[in-house]
Amino acid sequence: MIQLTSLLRMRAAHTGNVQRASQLRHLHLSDQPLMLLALKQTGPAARPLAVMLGTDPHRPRLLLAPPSGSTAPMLSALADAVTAYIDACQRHREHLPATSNKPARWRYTDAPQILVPNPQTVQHLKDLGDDLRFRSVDESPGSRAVQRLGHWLTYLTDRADLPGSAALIPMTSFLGMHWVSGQSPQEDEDLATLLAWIDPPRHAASGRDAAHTAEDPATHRPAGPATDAAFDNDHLAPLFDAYARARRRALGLEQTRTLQELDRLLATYLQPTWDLMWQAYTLLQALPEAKGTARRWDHERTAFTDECTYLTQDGRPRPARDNAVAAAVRLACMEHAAAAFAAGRTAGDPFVRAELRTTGKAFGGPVTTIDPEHTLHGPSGRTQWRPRLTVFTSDPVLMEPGQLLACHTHPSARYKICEVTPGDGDTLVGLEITAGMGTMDRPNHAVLPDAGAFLVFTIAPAPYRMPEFPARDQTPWTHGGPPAGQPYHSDEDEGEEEQ
Amino acid sequence: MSSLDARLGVLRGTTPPIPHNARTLAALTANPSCDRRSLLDAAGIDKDALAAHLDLPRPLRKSQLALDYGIAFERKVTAQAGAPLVPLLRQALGLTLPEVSYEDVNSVGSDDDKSSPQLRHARTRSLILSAAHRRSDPRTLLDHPVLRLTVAGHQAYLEPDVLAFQRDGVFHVVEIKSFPVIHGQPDPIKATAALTQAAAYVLALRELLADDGLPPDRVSDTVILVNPRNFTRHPTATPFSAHKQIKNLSRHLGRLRRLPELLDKLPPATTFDLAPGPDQKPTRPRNELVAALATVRPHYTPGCRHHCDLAFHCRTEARNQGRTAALGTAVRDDLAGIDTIATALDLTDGRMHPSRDKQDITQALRHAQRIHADLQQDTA
Repeated sequence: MIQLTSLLRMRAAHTGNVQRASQLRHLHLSDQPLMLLALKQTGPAARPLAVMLGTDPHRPRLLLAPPSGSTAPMLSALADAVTAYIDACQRHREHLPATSNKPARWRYTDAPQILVPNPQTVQHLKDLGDDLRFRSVDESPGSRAVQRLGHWLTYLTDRADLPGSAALIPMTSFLGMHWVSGQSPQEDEDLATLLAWIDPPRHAASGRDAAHTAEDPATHRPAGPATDAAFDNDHLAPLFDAYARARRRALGLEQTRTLQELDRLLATYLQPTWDLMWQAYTLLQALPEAKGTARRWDHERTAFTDECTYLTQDGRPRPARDNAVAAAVRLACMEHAAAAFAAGRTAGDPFVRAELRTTGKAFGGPVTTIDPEHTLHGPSGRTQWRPRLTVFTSDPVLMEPGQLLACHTHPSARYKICEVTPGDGDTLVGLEITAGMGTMDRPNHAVLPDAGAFLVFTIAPAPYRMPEFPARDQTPWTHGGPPAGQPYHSDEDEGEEEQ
Repeated sequence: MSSLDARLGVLRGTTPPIPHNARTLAALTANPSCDRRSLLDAAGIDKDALAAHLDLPRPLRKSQLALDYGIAFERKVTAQAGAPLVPLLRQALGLTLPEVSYEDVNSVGSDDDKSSPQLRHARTRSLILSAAHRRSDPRTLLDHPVLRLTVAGHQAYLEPDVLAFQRDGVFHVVEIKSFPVIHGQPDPIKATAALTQAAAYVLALRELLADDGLPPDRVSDTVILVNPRNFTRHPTATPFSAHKQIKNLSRHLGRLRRLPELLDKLPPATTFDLAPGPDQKPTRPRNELVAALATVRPHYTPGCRHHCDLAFHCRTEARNQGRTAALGTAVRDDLAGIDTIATALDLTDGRMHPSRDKQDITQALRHAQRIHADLQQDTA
């Protein structure tokens, strides 16, 4: 099996120009995303050095933390900026009428969307969230806001782990869904070279040439959060030293001057990446949205609304490490999200289906025969309508009879493989429609394809039911429940780790 | 001097060899099938100098800020004769250390400057053996001892941060690393790298004990990493099993015996000598050096930049030759058996007829191509 992406990567490398992958956007793009670039200080775990952020491409805001000493003023300014952005999403709410299985509720009409350059920045924000959300709230101004920022960073980075979520998106991964470059996936994590492949400057001969130019160490600026060794040694270290010296001798003026110089240095350092982020945003915005995209954004807004409610009603920080049940719930949610996102993309995007055909998880071909009258006698003796069709495919069919399939033309219909007849390089697959065709009395004839129609069948997503998990007082102590033989106190402050 | 040494010396030229250290040994396990790296390392060639001379980016250049931070953390941990370390180790190892004796092996015989590794090794050896044989009051903590490991017939001196000796006769390697352990979890990649380095120390210590007839299980497979805890600079100690890394590394060290084979494959008079002039600047023509490098087979992967100075040279080479490996391991594995992009595309587009063993993969390539063509047609 050769993945389609592998073939495209080779084509891109050979021609020097990027290849189109999916041409439909599966993640919502906000009209006003918060663009955020972060730099961390080399060494300490999650000490920020600078953050450039904003919703206006022409007016980025740079927040700078001093090389040594307290980061509190910077974090407090960051907290204010991020919270102001999040608050703006809570301006309007919509009412959702009750449905058969849900009571009436409301949700915000918007949700925050933060775009960062790469997955490493997501990890950095996660670490920062881990640090800040356990900070104690004291008298100092901004300490509550900083703790709240930690909470939001944890929420956002958590969402970023969920496939299909658009709350916090690393730009390189987003671009990678739509274009295949002629370099390795590791190199694709560098925004500057990836974007050079995708959208080379007009004078460049090819994407490859543009990427080569973009890589020039003299002008290339890594998108963070780590700064590269050369920049550390040549630019940051001297300024850090100067700042430390001034601080030791309590030379206020000298300190301010060094900070101003650092500010200028980092503003110039981040500006190219800032421009690239908006360039990428424009490219992605031009892509048409896939069918499920709006629905996924609805879920995003629901999750955001729930989080806001949690913050006002409870607001305890998420524990540093989930207990067994919470971890299992989280894992189940992630699996569900991954399956739902995969199914949604398959249904809505011909590229995804093509890719599945190259890996043997789908097959496609024209319908050769159709038997609309075929019936079965169920165990109770009742006659069941089970129309049959045969599909002729030149894709290798690795599936066994009995496998349930889905088809993009009728997402709710299900097809069961009855027989697989391999021929000379081709295969005839006999299918029976088992769901979505209605009953004998009220048939849904639309589900029956015409002979000759080209259909792609993919493995049907397994029906999802959230597994049941025990309540905390029902959980054995080995899995994070209350200690054996002791009564359970629900007001216990769980998960608060000493800091 | 053995003939092997002489031949390696010719490859290196006039500059003194760079000995293996724990970091380069760890890199051996990262990409063991790279002949180029094996040979350059065995000959003790300064790969960073090669990269600099070839005007390449130097991916392993160290940030001064990172070094300073690391040193400051290590100082903090080993300050006051290891005082902060003792309670940590007591907890991590269950040491019973009623009285801890601490020995700094950073310098032997002199007060300030670092002594030669040979001298420090001799001192380390006598301290370790007297502890192991319980001849004297056992030294429970050794700060920067110097161990010796035989790598492909050569002696490499290695310097673990700390060795801890348990009263019941087991040694533990302790590594002080400045990457954080957040909520009990270190970065898995960094932790694995640290454990692979520690594995080199374990092997070296076992070699030392074996020379004196002591069994290998006197050195524990469990390695203690001392890292900053969460977002603070306070140290925390975590025991990790380095069993896998130790096994891995000793297997790769065993494989280094195939050096003579690699040397035999080289054209006569091959050398990687930079031919430094009187001002120590390399005078070797670059194209000659590139040609010399081309005589040894590399095994390039995009991950090489994390552990090899020459990564960008091999990348350029792989790209110029249109190798599938330059596109990452996923593409390379997908196309197992086809080395170049041009061959793969020729097979795909029918410009080349597949040999018998490439028939399956050609079919898969053409299948992917057909599907892609259908897709283009639909969207056009």
